[in-house]
Amino acid sequence: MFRNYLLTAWKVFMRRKLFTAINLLCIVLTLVVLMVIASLLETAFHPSGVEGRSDRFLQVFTIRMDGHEDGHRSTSPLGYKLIEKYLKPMPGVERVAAVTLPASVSVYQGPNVSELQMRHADADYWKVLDFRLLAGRLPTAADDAAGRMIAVLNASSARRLFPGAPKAAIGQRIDVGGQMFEVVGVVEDAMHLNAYADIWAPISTFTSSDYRNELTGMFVALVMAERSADIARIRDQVAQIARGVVADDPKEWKRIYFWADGKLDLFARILTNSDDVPDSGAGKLLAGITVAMIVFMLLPALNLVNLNTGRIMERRSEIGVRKAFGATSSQLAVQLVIENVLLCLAGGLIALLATAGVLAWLESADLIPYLKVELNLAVFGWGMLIATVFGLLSGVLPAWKMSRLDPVHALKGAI
Amino acid sequence: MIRLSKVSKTYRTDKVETLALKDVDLHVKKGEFVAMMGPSGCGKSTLLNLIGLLDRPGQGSIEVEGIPITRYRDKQVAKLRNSTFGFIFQSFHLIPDLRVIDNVELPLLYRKMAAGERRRVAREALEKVGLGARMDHYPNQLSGGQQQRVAIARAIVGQPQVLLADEPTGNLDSKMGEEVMDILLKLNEEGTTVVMVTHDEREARRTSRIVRVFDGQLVA
Amino acid sequence: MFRHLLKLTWKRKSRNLMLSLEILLAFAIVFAVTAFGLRYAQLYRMPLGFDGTDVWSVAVQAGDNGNRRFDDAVYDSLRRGVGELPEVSSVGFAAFEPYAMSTSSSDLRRDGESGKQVRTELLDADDGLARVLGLELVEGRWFSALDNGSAQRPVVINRRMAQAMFPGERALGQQFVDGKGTHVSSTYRVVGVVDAFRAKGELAAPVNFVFTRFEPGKNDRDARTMLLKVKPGTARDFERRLNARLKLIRNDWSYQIEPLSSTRASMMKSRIIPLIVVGIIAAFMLLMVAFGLFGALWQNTTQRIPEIGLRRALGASAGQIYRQIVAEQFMLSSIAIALALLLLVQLPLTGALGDNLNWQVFTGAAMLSMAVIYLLSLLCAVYPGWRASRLSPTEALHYE
Repeated sequence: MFRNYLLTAWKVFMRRKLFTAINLLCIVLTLVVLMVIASLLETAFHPSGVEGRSDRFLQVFTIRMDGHEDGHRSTSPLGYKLIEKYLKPMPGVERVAAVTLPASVSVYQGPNVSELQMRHADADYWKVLDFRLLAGRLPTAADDAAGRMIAVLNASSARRLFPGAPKAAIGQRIDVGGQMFEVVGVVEDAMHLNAYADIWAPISTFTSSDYRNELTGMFVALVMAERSADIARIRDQVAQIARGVVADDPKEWKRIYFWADGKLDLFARILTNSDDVPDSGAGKLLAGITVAMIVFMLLPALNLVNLNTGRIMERRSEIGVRKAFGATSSQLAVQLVIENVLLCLAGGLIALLATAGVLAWLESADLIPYLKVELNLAVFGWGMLIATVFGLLSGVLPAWKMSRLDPVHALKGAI
Repeated sequence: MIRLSKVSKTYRTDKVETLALKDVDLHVKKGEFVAMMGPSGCGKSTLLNLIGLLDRPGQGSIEVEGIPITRYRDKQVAKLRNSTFGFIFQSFHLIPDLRVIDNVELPLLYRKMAAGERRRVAREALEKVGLGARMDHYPNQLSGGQQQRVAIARAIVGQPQVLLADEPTGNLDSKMGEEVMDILLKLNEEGTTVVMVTHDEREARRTSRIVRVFDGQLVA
Repeated sequence: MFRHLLKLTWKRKSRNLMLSLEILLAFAIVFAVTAFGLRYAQLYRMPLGFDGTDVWSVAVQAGDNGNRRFDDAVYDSLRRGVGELPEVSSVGFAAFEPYAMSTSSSDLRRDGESGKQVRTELLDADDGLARVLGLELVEGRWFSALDNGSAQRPVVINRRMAQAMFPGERALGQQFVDGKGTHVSSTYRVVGVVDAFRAKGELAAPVNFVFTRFEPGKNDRDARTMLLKVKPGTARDFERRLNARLKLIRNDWSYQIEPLSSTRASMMKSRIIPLIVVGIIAAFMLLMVAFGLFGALWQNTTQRIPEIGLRRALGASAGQIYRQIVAEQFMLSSIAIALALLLLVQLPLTGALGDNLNWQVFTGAAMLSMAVIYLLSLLCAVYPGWRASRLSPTEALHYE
């Protein structure tokens, strides 16, 4: 019987090739967009590669200080003093790294001026993130202690400044905003939350050491656990520490908040503006994304329902004849739903190939520099599941409508 | 009036070719009431369609009032269909979304006529078939016989010279069928040429000439 | 013929509902994108109020998070040191440069009235800024040494602010204050008026603007961004010499140097990107709607082939049939568009989107969207219509 359903479905598709093509195109387009977005989100929230250890470390991005008056508040990245005094001494963690947000600097080379994104980071940073070293070495704690003027470049910048592969850059000297640095290492290009930059230098190379005295500044703390099971405990620990922080000017600032978050929580916190409560709003964010995706699928689903309903009307006489010869409503309904599901699955497979293509194009198009995004099995599985559900749902309404057609009217069929 | 010479028609569907008419010669004179008879599938409906210019012959020629229609372009053929011919179909083919009066008006829409004039002429045609009171009804509110009468009104509203009827009483009971035949005969008396396809021997005998069709050809 | 088609369309309205909804949706989408684009075009054409060509900005970073105050001597040494470079024609100081992402705003009101607060953007500026940015005053004058020792803080405002704060009056010489309730933190006096000023650039909506005179040591914040007017044709590597000269003045400070043209480029990018994203989403949805429309029209026409056959039998020519299908589609689209416009016109009527959807933008977007939607529905109707009109009446009547 099942084989029968399949054969009929195939014949129906071939009879109306244009319709089938339109339907298929609709489904493929929707699924491609959804899968591309899902892949990008997956890369953002559960990265592999440079930030592959994300399940083992948390980041503290902002410190918020509330004043005594309503509305008097300050939100900014962390100052080095906060990290050094309160976070680095934390017990029960493997390490705490400090790194600045990327800032624009000019690199002077003779008559050429190149604009690069620069971060200042301590040696722990290189242990938390997993950069692929292409040449030379990474900065160590010894470099930090000695305050050596060294720099690490990423592959693209190394190529831009010193033609002749990564190796040629090692040992060269560059003028960064008036300071001279020696290039000691070249790493692979990376685009992620804490990894994105063109050039790195140790924190100790700042022109003035005023940064050490502030609770606010331009730093981010990365807290790495020994095991990923410790994460929950560390979050509570950091929240506890925040309660005990004393502001530089207690007369101005009443309360201080900061949170150690994983990637998803971090984005959720920023988007929902929840700096003052432990709950980052991740649940709300995921719910929002799901709703948006469903709404997005609504239009193509409506299209499919419409087209299916029309197809039924077309096949009125065929349906009437089948019923007159003893086919039950449910058999006919199953036929229709199977046709639909098959179409959606076919669409899903095509969409998969197309998504891989689109992601490859995104990587090469450089809209987001150094982007690396992969289509992983989870996204694929979800995509096929959605396609099936899609097919089921958009087949149900027309199937129900069709089951109510009685043979006489179906066969008579006026204009 | 209408002359068919050595007309052949083949139907092609997917991979099957059906020869519907073969080498048919037919002359319909003005004012005649011709009945076409034959078993089903013999090609009489095809013949009717060709006479009414609803289809083009594969081979042979058709002349209307001496002018071969092969020289006509689509626009001119359409004009002929509109002004010279009136068609009555077996399954009525009324538009269910339009009222009776609008259905009858339909052919007049393709002529240059003022809206008021159209209404008047359509109402007259309805009165002629005895359905003046059902002007504003929808087709699905009428019985089979009434629907067929509306179809007749539509066919005659443009005062065509030739009326073509494809088994007009096929879907009606005998009483209704007789009423419809009476209307057709009356119209023929008033000067309209009528060509009718029928199964009914009794009806055919009321006409002025019977043409028998068998296997795509005319038989004596 | 028109009334006939209207009757038909109305009687089949439930079948046409889905189609109408899709057209309505498509119209709304195209409207949103064109309105967005037209608004930007409108804003771009408005006067900017300053000339950013050949202007460079230097953000002075003293590592103290802005907590210390620079005194007169520091500013003088910076001005003199930089002014000595041959490429520099004039120097000024401001809290931040035009096109920057920073905003400083506050609610100000006239002295005495505890009522109407006027929201305005502010910028600390020194006496040299007008020359650097090419600011032209329509009333009064820019800040100068004449203002030293003034009891109230001198300000230069733009015309929009003048009309907001002093409607119908002459703004020059008037005063206003800031502070909550009856408390007054500072008093300002208007010494000059500029025609227009939009700090955020060509794509920003016009706002009320106030330049507050900056005197070293006298205000609660320093203006640490130096703006330089350089000679036309100055090469990009001038930055190196500028940096070196600045380092001579204070070696422990760092300087972020950027030509205003590249700040402008980043600002434009950040404004255009939302438009592009919205455009891509809209294109996608439009494609979906087009598919749905095409499919539905195809089906509609296919279902009506027997009716078309009938009309042909009654004497309609192929051209007439074709025109009928197109006319019906036109009618359907018009109904959907009229409905959409009825809903959309509420936006400028109620002022929900403020000046961003003014009547000019609305009419322009409506016209463009109508053109696009009519074209779309025409294209979708063409192929099915052409196919249907090609059938001979017999084929059509017996269409299965």
